This record gives sequence, structure tokens and C-alpha cells, in this order.
Amino acid sequence: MNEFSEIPIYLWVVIICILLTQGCWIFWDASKRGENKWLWGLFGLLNAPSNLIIYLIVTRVILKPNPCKVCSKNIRKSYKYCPYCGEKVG
Amino acid sequence: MSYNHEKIQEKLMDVFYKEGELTKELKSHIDDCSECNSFWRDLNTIEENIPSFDLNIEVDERVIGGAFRKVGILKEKRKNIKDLALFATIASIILGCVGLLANMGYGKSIILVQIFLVIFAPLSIPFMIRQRLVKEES
Repeated sequence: MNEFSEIPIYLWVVIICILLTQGCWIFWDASKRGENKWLWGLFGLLNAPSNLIIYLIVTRVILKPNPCKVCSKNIRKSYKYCPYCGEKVG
Repeated sequence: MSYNHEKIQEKLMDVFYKEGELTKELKSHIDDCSECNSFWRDLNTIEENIPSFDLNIEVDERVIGGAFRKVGILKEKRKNIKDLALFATIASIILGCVGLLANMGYGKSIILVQIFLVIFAPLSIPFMIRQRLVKEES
């Protein structure tokens, strides 16, 4: 298919920049939240913006963050003690 | 500081900690050498002032634990920055290759893969949630 070679180069650059920015942002956000950053980062490179929406739904809505007040690691709401630092949270 | 001074000051340290004797040789050197004299006077000053220091310091292990945690957080942040730079490099290479393939005439295949991903990517959500819950359980 030769139509793709007719697409101007700047458009390719824009698409690549968008995907790269999305992938890097998801990577950084996942690393801050203690998620699997490499998996999420590669996931973010595949598609825009649907993969970003999926990431936000999974990390913000479905798996709501509940950080421990002492060590900031994400723990379940049902926990009475933090499994990482041992502080009482419940 | 010359090697001789270093040796003499080591011997003076031994005398300070009561592990050696203040010999005539050492005394005469202290009288003749200003550097070692100053060193010996400093040691004596420390010995005189030690009883007045408050050595009964309360150790709060939570403060120590908190300090270690902060160090851990800083180290993790630096590691994340390095990993991000590595990821950006790898991602640029991958996307560059994809762009090149599209330009070479494989664009139709890439579009098909994208359509597939758009349709089936949301189906991966339950697996990601399950992986996360398993990680929290372990």
C-alpha cells in the first residue's frame, strides 16, 4: 500500500511524539504508584488515547489508591496494619 | 603532615586512650614540635570536656526508621528517573521502526493490528486487576 508513503513526515512525527509522551507519562505514573511500570509503559505506546483511558480507569477508579500514611505504599482498605512498614492503619 | 608526625600523633592517640605511655621521647617531641603540641593540647581539651557532654540521648527508633524510609524513597526516585530515560530511548527506537515499516508499505498490517488492539485491549483489564490483587496478596 503506497498511500502511507504519501503521508507527510511531520504527521508521522506528531503521531510518534503523542505515543511517546503518552507512554512516558504512563510509565512515570505507574512507577510512582508502585505498578508494573514496564508493562504499563509498553501498553501506553500501543494506542492513543484508548490505552490511556484504560490505564486511568484501572489505576484511579477500579483500583482506588489507598496509601499507607507512613510509608506511602498502596494497601487494601480492609488492612488494619500495613504489610510493608507494620504501622497500624485501621 | 609528614610521616614522622603521623606516627607520633598515632602514639599520642594511644596515650590518650590509655593504651600507651607518655615516654620521654614523646614529651620532648611535643615540646619541640608546634604541630604535635597543638594536637596534644586538643586531645587534653577533649578529655577535660567529655564529662560535661550529655551522652544520655534518647533514641527514637521511629525517627531512625523514618530516615531510612526517606533514603529508600529517594533511591527509588533516582532509579525511576534512570528507568524512564531508558524507556524513552527504547520507545523511540520501537516507534521509529514502526514508522519506517509503515513508510515501507506495511501500513495496512499496522492499521489492522491497531484495530485489533482497540477492540481487545479493554478485555485485558480483568487480567491486570487480577495480577494486581495477586501482587497485593503475596
